[in-house]
Amino acid sequence: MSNAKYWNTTAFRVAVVYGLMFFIAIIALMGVVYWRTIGYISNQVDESLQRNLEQLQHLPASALPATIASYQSRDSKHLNFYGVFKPLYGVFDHHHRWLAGNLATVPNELSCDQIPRPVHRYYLRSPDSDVAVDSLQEAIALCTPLPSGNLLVMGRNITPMNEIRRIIIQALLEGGGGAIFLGVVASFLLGIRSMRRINRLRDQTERIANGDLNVRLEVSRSNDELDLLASVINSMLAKVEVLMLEVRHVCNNIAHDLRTPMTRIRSKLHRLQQSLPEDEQALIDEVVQDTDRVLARFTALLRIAEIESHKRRSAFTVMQLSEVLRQLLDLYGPLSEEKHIHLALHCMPVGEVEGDAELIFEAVSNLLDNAIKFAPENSIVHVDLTTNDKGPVLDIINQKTLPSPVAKYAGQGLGLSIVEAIMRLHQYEFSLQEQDQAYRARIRFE
Amino acid sequence: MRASSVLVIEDDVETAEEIVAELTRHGYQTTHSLQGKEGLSLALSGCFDALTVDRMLPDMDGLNVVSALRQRGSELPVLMISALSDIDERIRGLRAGGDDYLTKPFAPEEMVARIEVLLRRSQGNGATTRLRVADVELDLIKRTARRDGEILDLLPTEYKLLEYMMRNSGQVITRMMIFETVWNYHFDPGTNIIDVHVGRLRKKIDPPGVPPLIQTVRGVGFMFSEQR
Repeated sequence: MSNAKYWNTTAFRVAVVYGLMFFIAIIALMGVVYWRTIGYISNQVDESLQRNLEQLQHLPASALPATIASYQSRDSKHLNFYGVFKPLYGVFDHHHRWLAGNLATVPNELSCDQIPRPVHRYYLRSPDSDVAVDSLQEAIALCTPLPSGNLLVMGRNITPMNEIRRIIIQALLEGGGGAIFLGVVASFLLGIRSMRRINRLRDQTERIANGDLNVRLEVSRSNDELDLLASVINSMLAKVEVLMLEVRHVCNNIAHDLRTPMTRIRSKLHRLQQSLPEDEQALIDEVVQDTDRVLARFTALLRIAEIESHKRRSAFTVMQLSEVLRQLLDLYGPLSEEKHIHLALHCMPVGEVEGDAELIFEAVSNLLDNAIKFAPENSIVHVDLTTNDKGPVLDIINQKTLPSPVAKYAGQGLGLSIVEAIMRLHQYEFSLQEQDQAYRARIRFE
Repeated sequence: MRASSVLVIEDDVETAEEIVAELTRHGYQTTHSLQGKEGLSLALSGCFDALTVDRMLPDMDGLNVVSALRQRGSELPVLMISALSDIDERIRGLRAGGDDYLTKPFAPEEMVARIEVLLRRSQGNGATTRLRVADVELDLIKRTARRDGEILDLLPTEYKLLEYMMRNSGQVITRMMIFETVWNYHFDPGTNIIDVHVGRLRKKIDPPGVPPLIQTVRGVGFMFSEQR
C-alpha cells in the first residue's frame, strides 16, 4: 500500500483553509483601515477646500492677496491637519498669469468648475523671485472663476496622505504575504506531521492485521482525537487478544484432551485389526484410516498452536531457498510423474533468507503437494523463484481444475493454516490468487 | 534366544498398557514403571535392552532420566515419547541422550518399529562398508548397489532409501521413519509420497521374475526381507 500524500490530510487542508481565512481577514482589516484613514483625509481635504472657497470667493479682488497670505501663515504654524496638508493658493488672471498666492501656475489637470481634482504636479512660487519651483509633490486642488474675471486656485498638498496610503498598502502586502508564507509553511508542516503519524498507525495496523496482536497503536501525549481513537482501538485489541488466546487455549485443550483417548482408540483398533483374519480386516482397516485422519487433524491443530506460539524464532538460520526447492522437487518428483505432471523449476540467483529451514520446507511442501494434487494430468506445475527489490518471491502455479482456490483448499484447511502460521512466524507475505486458468500460491520472503 | 527386554517408563496407566501390550505382542518382555526415579533405578540395573521414556513424568523430567542414564555410562537405547511435538523439544530430547523421539499420538506399530530399529542399531556394527541382504549388495564406499551381481541404476535418494531399508532388514519401518531418515525432516508430509518413492525403488530392486525383497506391511509400513 503506497503512502498517502500529506496534502490529502485533514490537518493540511484545515491549515490551508484557516490560512486563507486569516489572509482574507487581514485584507479586510487593512481595507477598513485604508478606507477609514484615506477616506477621512480625502474628505477633510475636500471640505477644507470648499470652506476656503466659500470664504475667498466673495472677497473683493484687492483683498484676496492679503487674505491668502494670512491663510498661508496661519496654516503653516500648526502641526494639525492644516499644517500637515499644506495649503496651496493661487490667483491668476484670465491669461493664467500669477497675481497672488504660493502657486506659480495653474495646474494642468484643473478646469474652472470648482471640482477638486488630483494634481500630480504643481509649481510653487519662490517668495523672493518669479521662479517657479517644481514642488515634486501631489495635491488635491480646484479652480473657480472670480467675479473679477480672475481665477482662484486652491488646493492641499496630499503627499502625506499618499504616503500613508503607500504605507498601508505596503503593510498589507508585507503582512499578507507573511501570513500566506507562514500559512503555507504551517500547512506543510502540519500535513507532514499528520501524515507521518498516520503512516506509523497504518504500519502498526498492518502488523496487527497480519496476526501480531501484541502490537498496540501509538498514543502520544498530545491527547488529540487520534490519540483518543488509538486508545479505544488498543483497548479493543487487548480484548480481542484475550479472546483469541482463550479460543486458542480451548482449541488446544480440546485437541490435547481428545488426543489421548483417540490414541487409545487407535491402539485398540490396531490390536483388533491384528487379531482378525485377513479377510475380515477390511472394515477395521477403514476405521483405522479414519482414526488416523482424525489424529492427523489434532496433530495439525496443535502444530499450528506451536508455531503460533513463536517459540521457533530461536531456530532461525540463514538458508538457500534454491537448495530447499531442489530438495522439494526431489521429494515430489516421483509423485508428479505418476500423474504425468511436469514440475518446472525456474530459479533465479537470489540471496539467502533467514528462517527456520524445516518450517519453510514444510510450508512449501504443503503448497507443492496441493498444486500437484489439484493440477490436471499432463499439465505443468511451475515453481518460480524470482527476486524483486524487496527480496525473493516464490510462485507455485498450477492449472485450474476446481472453480476457486477457496473450494480447492477447502478440504486442505489445516494444511493451509499451517502454511499461514509458518508465514506469520516468519513475517513473510503469503497469498493465493486465481489468475486466468491457473492458481498461484505466492510467498514473498521480504 | 532370549527375547529382548524393554522398560517402559510412563505415568499414564492406559498409555503404558497400550505400549506394553504392543511390545508384548511383538515378543518383547516388558516392565512398566510409573515414575522417573524408579524407572531410572530399573534402567541402571542392566536388565533391559531398550527403554521408552515419557517426557513428562511426575517426579522427574524424562530428559533428566535420560541425562542421568548417560552420565552413569549407560548406552541403553532410549526412545523418548512425548506429547510435545515441537522440534526444539525433539532436539532437546536427543541432546539429553535419547536415541529417537516419538510424538503422541503415535501408532503403536510405529513405536514398536522404532524400538526394533534402536535394538538393531545397538547390536549391529556401524563400521561396515558393505550391506548384504539376499542377493542385494550395497557398497557403502563406492555407493553402488547390485542385485545378483548386476549394477542397479539408483538415484541418490533411492540409494539412501535402500541403504536405510537394508540396515533395518527384517524389521518393519514406517513411512514417517523413512521420511525422517532419508529426507531428515520431521513433519508429516501426508499423501502417499513415501509409497511412491518406495514404489520406484521397488521397480528397480524387484523387477518381474525375481523374488521381491521390499514387502509392504499393511497399515504399518515396509520391510526389506527375503521372506515375510
